[in-house]
Amino acid sequence: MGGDRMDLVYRVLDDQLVDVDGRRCGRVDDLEFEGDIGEFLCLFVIFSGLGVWYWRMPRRLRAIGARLFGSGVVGRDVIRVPWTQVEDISSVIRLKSKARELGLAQGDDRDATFVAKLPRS
Amino acid sequence: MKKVFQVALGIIAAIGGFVDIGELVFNTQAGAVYRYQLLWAVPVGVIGIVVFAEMTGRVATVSGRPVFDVVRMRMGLNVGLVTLVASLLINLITLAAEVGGAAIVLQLLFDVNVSTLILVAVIGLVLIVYFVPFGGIERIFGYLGCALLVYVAAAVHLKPDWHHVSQGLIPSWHSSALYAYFVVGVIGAALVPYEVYFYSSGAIEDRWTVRDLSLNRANAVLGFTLGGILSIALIVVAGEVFFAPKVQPGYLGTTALGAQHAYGEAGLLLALLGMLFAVGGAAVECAFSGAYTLAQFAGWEWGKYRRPREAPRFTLAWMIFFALAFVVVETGVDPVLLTEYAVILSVVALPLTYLPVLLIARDRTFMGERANGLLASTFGWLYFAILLVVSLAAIPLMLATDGGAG
Amino acid sequence: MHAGIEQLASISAESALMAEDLARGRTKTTFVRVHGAELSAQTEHEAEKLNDDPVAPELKMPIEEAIKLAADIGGAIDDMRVSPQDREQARQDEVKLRHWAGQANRLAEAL
Repeated sequence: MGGDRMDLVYRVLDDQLVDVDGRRCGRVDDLEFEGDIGEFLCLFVIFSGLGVWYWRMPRRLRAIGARLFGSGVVGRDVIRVPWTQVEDISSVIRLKSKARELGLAQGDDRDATFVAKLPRS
Repeated sequence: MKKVFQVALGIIAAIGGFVDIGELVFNTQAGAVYRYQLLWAVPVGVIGIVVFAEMTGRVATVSGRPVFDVVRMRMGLNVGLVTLVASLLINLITLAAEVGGAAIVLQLLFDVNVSTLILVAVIGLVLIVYFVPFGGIERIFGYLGCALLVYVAAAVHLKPDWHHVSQGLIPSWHSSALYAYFVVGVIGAALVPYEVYFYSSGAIEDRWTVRDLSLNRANAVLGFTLGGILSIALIVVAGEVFFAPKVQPGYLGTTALGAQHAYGEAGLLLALLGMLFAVGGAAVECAFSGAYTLAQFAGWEWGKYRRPREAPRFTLAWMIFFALAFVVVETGVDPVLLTEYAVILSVVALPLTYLPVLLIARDRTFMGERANGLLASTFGWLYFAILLVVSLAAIPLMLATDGGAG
Repeated sequence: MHAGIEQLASISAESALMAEDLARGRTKTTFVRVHGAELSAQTEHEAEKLNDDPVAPELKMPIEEAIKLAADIGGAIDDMRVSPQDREQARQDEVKLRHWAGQANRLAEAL
């Protein structure tokens, strides 16, 4: 793919997100486009979080998927990352801001308070 | 000179780290039942793991993507999830088998209640993993696992018929389900996926660069190959000691008996020490492998080189794996039986992780000039075909032979 | 049944190897006790299976012979475990265990 073309499924979807400090903070679990029928679509938002998984599963497994991974509540098990936050696309998707500012890696932040109690953590 | 020394140390660690409970169980059984006739299956498995490890190491170094990053990216969410769940389950079974094996070896050394020793083994491993740096873990278990080289010495000492041994290295076939089962088992015991997940994640943990590729290729090729010699030695010793009297090995103690028969108490102690650290090291690799797998698939921060609070879900993941393995082993399930299931199921799931790595390794978009050349491609696809055949045959053979009972 | 008797032959053969090393003072007491316990327990388990499995009347005698063999094998293993320092006993046990292994193999082949 050259010029201004990119294979989004191959190069973006399911790729690792890394914040401005180099911290791994989730994956590109889905993408959202903006635009109307018959108009140009533009890539608008990255969805990241386990809550996205259920709607990518086969229809018959979505109910179980929602129970296991979350039902896609934005801000809780799904984070919307504006495409404008993407700095660079290489082997990872590099973001312009810190994970915390974007609401990413909440699980790690939550569990860090427990792990911090372990010796030499 | 420093590089040569580094390579030598890396190879030693790889030799000691190659053998796990799967090799100890399957290779001893193979030698006892078929003497040398299954020796040829060892190089098939070793070449397979060299091919797989070299590709994953190269992919990780050049593209920055360890195995489960590649699986997620190349297979997508749904197929990737199936692969993830299968890998985690198999990892857990394998980890339980290794922990159980370590406890049995401790019991053979100290004659203490095995339930207590399972707890001791798990706590000991968790403490070592938590407090010792990554490189130190590799060295402790790798170097001390080299005590298993007593089997290489024993194989020579027992004076086998070398003509028959060399004939065993030539592929042969028996129209027997049991023979086919052992072929699958011996290949599967060498081609354990958790070693490859650990290896590729280790490439990123150790911050390999493209300049390190030759060095680390040497470690993989030489280390696994020399480790394969250990596997061959296990078969030869079992063939010499157990084949004639028709002993059917069903315990780790039986494997140790082979070294004792050659060298007495010294042989026994070296064998047990080597087993303890080989199996212990394998348990560590397994636990990390599970945590790497989960973290990489989900996109969490991961790495032993990170402080625990910087990769908290990764840290909790490997601790939980050890806890779950403890629970499994404490139910009293036989670790040797668990090992057989782990090896066979690993072989079944192997193509699911092998294929995405192969596809990325040959993709110039990610690999540039380091993409698979003609030799790597040829071996890569050849082994994919072999793995497919072996993985499809594994479960039917396990059922047909009642898990190798005959 | 056939597999069970083959297992007894295997256990007896393996115990004979252990007895040989014990007689020559080439093993550790803990190993003999722990591994011996595994082999002894397995012998008992095989004997129980042979006893509990329903058999045709013409197989009753070979099964009883196999169960008696299991008791003999288990007894010899337990003797080694109790007195691992008694090399003379170990020497005698080695001979007996090899003999019983052969007996069990012949019994398995006859079935």
